[in-house]
Amino acid sequence: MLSASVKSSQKKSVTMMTSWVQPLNQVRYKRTKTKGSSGITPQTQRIITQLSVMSARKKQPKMLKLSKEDLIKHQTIQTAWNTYQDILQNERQTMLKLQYNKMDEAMTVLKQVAPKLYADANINESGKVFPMEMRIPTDYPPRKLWYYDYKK
Amino acid sequence: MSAPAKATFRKAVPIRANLILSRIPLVVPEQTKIEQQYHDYQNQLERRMMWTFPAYHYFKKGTLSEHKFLSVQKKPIIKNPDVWYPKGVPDIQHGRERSKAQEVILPQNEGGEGSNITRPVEKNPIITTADESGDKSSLERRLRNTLYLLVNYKKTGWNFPKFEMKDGASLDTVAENGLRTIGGDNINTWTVSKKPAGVIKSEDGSCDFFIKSHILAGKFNIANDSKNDITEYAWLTKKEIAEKLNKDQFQLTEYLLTK
Repeated sequence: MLSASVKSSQKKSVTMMTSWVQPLNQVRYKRTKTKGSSGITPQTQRIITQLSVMSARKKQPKMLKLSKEDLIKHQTIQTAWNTYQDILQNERQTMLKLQYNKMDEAMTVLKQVAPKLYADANINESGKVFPMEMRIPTDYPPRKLWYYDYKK
Repeated sequence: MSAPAKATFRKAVPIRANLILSRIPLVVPEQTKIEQQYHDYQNQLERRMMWTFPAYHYFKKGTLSEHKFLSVQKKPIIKNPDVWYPKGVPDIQHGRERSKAQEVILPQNEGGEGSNITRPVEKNPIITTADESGDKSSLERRLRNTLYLLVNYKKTGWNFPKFEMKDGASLDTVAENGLRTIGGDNINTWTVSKKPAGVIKSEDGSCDFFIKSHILAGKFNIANDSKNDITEYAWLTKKEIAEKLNKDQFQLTEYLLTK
């Protein structure tokens, strides 16, 4: 009689659930497999992304197709630039030549006038380097322009 | 060894060591018009031929930073089969129009705080306060030019600092030590070479040798002992030196100076 009463109550509850709530038959856990059939791990995916950064695929621009007129324009620009560089180079070379000749002249005069000073000036200085404190010119000045507080 | 040396020393001529102390430019020279135009042209070509920026590598998909980045980018024109495109059909890969240079815009912080690395670069002015006030004794003037030290001697006027030779010392040591005696010890210099860069032979037989050197740090201050000889000093460009020196003297030293 007891069992019969339990059965009847269970039946009752089931009928109640089906009436308005679906039973909980599926649970979603954290995804452990990647989408798709390839099934690559996140580590592999990361390597693929990193490699694709270096590869040219899909990243190269369209080829530059110049018309005849544009090509002539481009070549003219290049020739003008090369000529300009030649002029600068010539100026630099003539200046260096002049400075070398003047140094040569100074040394010959020094040899005649004071041989001891000439010997001193001729001491080998190979291995001499630019000092670390020397600054290379930049496009814009630094915040502190000059280091005045140098103490010997 | 001493016999021939003595023979040549018999006719001792007065020798002086002149020091050409320069401050190298802090800022690169201004570009000429042709240089500017050429670099602009090359820059445009390079940008046109550049690979597409791989934003997916720097911004993880679905993150806020990716959204921020993508929201400031300019969208290219999308290809639509029903539309006629007079300037060519769009060819888009990774969000970039392949026939044009890609413009990558970095998202800026709203407040523009100092910690943000994408903040706009503030450039320091090239014309300094020393330029505006015309202070010629300052080393912070004319950042684009090489400056040279000139001193005003009471007897002979403006000239490069010159020093009488002392026995035994070489030309460069005399020049460097002499600079310290007239300008104080707190000056850091680098002598280019022991060899003189030039010579001026005077009519009376004396010789002026030029030693080149660079100032790296510190300040030239006329020492109290030499205030009787030297009235003032200045750091000048080549153009300004041409005005201070007399014509003949400038012509003899012109090749030693750069713009």
